Amino acid sequence: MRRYPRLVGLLWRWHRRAGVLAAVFVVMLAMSGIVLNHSTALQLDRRFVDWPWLAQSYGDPSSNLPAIQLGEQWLFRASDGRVYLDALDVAPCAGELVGAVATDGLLVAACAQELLLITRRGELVESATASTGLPTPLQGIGLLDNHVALQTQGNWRLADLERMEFAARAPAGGAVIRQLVAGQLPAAIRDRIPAPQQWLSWERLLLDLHSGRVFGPLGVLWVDFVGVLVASLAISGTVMWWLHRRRRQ
Amino acid sequence: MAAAQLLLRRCRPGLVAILMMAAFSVSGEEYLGRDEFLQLAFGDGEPQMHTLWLTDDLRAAAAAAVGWVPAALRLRYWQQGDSTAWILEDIGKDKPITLGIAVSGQRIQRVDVLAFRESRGWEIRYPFFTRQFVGLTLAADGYLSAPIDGITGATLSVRAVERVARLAVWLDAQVRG
Repeated sequence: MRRYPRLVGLLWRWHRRAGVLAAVFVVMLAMSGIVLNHSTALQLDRRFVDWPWLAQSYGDPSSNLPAIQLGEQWLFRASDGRVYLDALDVAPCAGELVGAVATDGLLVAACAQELLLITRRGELVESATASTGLPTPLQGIGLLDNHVALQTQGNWRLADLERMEFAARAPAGGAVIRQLVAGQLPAAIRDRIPAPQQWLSWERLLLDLHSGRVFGPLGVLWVDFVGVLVASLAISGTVMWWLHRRRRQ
Repeated sequence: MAAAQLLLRRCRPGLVAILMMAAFSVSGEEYLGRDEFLQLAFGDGEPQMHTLWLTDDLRAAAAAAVGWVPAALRLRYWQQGDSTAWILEDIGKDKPITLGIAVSGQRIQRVDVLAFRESRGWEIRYPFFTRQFVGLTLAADGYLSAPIDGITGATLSVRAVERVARLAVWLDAQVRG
C-alpha cells in the first residue's frame, strides 16, 4: 500500500512535465486538424502562400532541380511537378525527373513514375505509367543503338514506344547505353518559365505543419514523439485516477 | 535478451499489420494494371491494340461533341469485334486519374479506375459508382443517356469520370465508322 503514494507522486510529476511539454504542440495539432477538416469550405486549396522564403525551403527556386540538355533545347521538371521544354509547359510528370533522351524526332522524359513522349515543339504525344504497363520506379533512361532503354530495379529494359512494351531486357555484356548527364537550367530559360509561385497552397502548408513535414524528417519524428507523449499522458492519467480511487476506497 | 524476444513474439501480429498497412499505402494508388483491365473487358479474347492520332480536326470535333479533349496527341485503344477498350487520363482536381472504359455497340460495358492519385475522391473506384455507367450511350447533346449520381466530396473526380466516359463512347463511334 505504501508504494501507491510514491507511484502516484512519481506519475504526477512526470504527467505534469509531459503535459506542459506536449501542450503547445497538442494545441497546434488540434487547431490545424480542425482547420484542415474544413479546408475545402475555406478554399484553402485555392489560396496560396506568398512567402518566397518558405517556397525556397520547399525546393524553389527551381534552379536546384536537374535539367537535361537535348540538342539546343532544355528539358526540366519544376518543383510543381510539371515538365517544361525550354520555357514551354508540357505536362505534369509523376516522380522526380531521372533522365531524358531524344530519339526519332521525339523527346522522351523519364520521371520515376511516368514516361512522357514529347515532340520537339513541346506537344505531349503520349504518357505511360504503371497502369499502362510501365515498370516503375524508373531509375534512368538511355539510348542503346538508338533504342530507348529504361533502368528499373537495377536492370535495363528496352522500350518499344510504338507498342508501349517494356518487357525485353537490354542485352548484357558489351552493350553501351548512353545517358545524358543532368545539368543546371540556364538562367535565361529559367527566367522565362512562368514561375510556379502559386503551387504552395495553405492546405498543403497546414498538412505539412500537421504532419511535421514542414520541418523535414526531424519534424515528422517530433510529431511522432508528441503522439507518443499524448498517448502516455492518457495512460498515466488513467493509472493515477485508478490508484487514487483505490486509495479512497 | 529473453525479454526482447518475448516482446517481439507478443508484438508480432501488430508489426505484421503495420508492415501490411505500409505496403498498401505505397502501392495504394494503382488499382488495376493494363492487362488486368483488358482481361476484364475482353475476357479470354485477344484484342488488337491500335493507336489513334488526335489530329486538329479530330480534336475540334471531340471538343464540339463532348466538350473535352485529352492533352496527348496519341491515344491507344484495343478492339475486338464491335468492342473497344480505352485507357484515358483526366485530371480530377490536381492530379491525373487513369481510367479504363470498355465500349460495345456504342454502349458502355464497364468503367474501371486504374490509378487514382488525388488525396480525395477515391470512392469513384467502387462498383456502386462505376456500375452506373454500364449500358449508357452518348446522347445527342454530348452527355450520357442517363444522369450519374455524384459522391459527396468527390465532385471533381466524378466529373472527370463522366467526361472520360463520354469521350470514350464518342471515340468508339469514330474508330468503328
